[in-house]
Amino acid sequence: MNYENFFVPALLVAFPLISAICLNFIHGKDRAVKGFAFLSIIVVLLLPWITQYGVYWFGGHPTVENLEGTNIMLSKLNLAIVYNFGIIQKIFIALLALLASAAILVHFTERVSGVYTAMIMLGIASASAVIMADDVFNIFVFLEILTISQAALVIAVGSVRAYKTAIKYLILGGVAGSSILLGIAILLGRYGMLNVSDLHKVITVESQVGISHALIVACALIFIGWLFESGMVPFHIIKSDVYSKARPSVGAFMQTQTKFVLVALWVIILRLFYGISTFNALILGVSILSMVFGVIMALRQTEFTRLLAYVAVAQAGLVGVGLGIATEASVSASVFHAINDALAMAILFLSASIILQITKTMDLHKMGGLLWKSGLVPLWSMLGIFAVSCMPPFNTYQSEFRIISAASQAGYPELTVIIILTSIATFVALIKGFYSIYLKEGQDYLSAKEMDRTPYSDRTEYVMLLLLAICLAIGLFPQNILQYIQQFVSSIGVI
Amino acid sequence: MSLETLFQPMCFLTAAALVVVGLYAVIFMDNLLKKIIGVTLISDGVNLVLITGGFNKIVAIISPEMYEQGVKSTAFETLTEFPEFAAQAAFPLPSALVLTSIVISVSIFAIMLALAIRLYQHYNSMSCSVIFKEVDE
Amino acid sequence: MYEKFFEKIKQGEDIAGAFTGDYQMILLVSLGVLVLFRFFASTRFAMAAAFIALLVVLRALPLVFKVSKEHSDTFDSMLFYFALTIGLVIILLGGI
Repeated sequence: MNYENFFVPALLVAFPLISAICLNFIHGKDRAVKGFAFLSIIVVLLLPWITQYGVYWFGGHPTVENLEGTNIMLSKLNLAIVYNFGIIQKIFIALLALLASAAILVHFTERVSGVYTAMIMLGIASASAVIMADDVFNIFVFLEILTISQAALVIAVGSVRAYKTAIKYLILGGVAGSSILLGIAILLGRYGMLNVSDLHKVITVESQVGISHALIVACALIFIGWLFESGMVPFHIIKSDVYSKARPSVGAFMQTQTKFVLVALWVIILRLFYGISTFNALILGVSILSMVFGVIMALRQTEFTRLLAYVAVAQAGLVGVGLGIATEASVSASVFHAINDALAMAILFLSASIILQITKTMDLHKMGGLLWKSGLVPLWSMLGIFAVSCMPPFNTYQSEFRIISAASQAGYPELTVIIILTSIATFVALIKGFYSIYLKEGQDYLSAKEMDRTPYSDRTEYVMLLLLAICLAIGLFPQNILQYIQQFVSSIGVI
Repeated sequence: MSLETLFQPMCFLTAAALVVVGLYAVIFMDNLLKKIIGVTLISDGVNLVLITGGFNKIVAIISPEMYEQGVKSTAFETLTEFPEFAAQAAFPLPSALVLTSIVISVSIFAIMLALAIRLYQHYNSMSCSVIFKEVDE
Repeated sequence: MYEKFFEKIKQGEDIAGAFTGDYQMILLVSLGVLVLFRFFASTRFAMAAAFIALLVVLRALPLVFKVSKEHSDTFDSMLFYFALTIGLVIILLGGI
């Protein structure tokens, strides 16, 4: 077998899909599920590091040249679905794999459900495909699969509240997905092709005479789909509901998926619709609203996972602000912030998972005084709060600082005030949560003897430590990743 | 205005009507099943738009003139009907896309209906105002 | 406004967070209108911005409790905002 050609980018999507199907089949046989899940985790963690870089054509169909005499306005045409795999895609997919593995391993000693693990694998596959694909219809298919997998992970919790959230999410997701498909239908009917690079060239040629109405309507429809997938206003409520109703370890994975899908989908719709004059302004407006409303709602929450979920939505809004400013500096800063914030929020979600194991509740009014009863977890949570609130020396400080300076350089000094205040308000909300969980005294269960050292999962603590170490490393040496991000941003070409 | 030239616009109008009725059902209907049917209608309308967009022969990739020239080569001597076929053929790609989209919709609806059954068993009502009533917890 | 906050304190709700949220909202409105007027001299945007700012100013403070109520989990409010967004996005992108 030719091993050089085996590790192609399509394997990053195909292997988790196959593993999800197999896990579904062996659901119910506890040991088989655990063994297979463990093997899948190892392969999924390794695959991004050994996959070759480059462009991958499905079926080997290359680009076709010499198309004179046809109706197409291009000299080269992509005949097949194309996947791009570069360093940034590798970083995204590797982080997704890390957090998915954490979500599976955290509950490993309990009875592991095959279907649950299969849905996490489906989530990895769909997010990887959206990150890598250069074909609009492929992206639509995997966005729908992503919706299904996230809804299934919420349903797995089993309470009636979770079912209500899941059905709301599926109805809104069905409508948003149909909206994306309608936009794709308009693009297909007008230009006859689905490949993003080809569409980009055709739209560039056509926009020299003027922007057509069909393009604007297609942009509006696909934009609505982008709003849903990235949890921006007005879908921030349902997205935060979904993150909070799933198990916290899976919530960490889901918020990572959302941030990376936000960036990947934004690159696609920018390459298609950059010619529309108010496009960047609309993204900026929606992101500012998501950021501010996310933080305001986080300050009002009485349930810890819902608070974390709203903070995650607000940080996704901050990523969107950088993308909306649309200069090279701001876009590289916000792609960097997506990576950093996904890591930092995951630390806090995993701490919520530990707290759920200890107190069996997420209600901030009922919790308290866990400072001496949970080992070193309060210390790691505090460091995680510093990481999410963009304090030095963590990685989020580097990225948010760059977003703020890019915003002021681009001529939006008011935005810098809003971003800084958002960061302060995030810190207030998280410290309020920290106080309510660890420092508040006088709770009934504290006097009971069995609370003196409640067992919780050590594995979760180790994963939190690993993520903290990665955050510190990126924070102290940001240039290692930032140079690749800057290359990626300049290769988009339209900023 | 023969029936043939009216066919494509009428298809688009039908699809628009389906999407509008579906959106109305999702937003205004109180019964949960009617909301789910609304999502079905929206997705049906969008699939119809996809297929009807491919009905237009202008988006066929190779123009009839080029195939006419190609017919003159030795490889395609027997293919004299091809230019007429190419001029009238529909774009085959949307049918493949619609198939994929229908499969995805079926799986989403299956999950939605299963959830609707569970919610009915718990609340004994399909009314959204009963199921989604905000209870101060 | 002081009385409204005092009532909420008596009900046991968290007020420090609400104050922070209120500052966020006020700053958002003032700076947002500034950005809009500075960059978009077009009639469409100026009208939209002025209308929204007028609405917010006319409503009495505190804003944050009303914002929280609008963020309720009810399906109807989510669908309302979804329909509103579709309309606004199509208008603002220039499709109509």
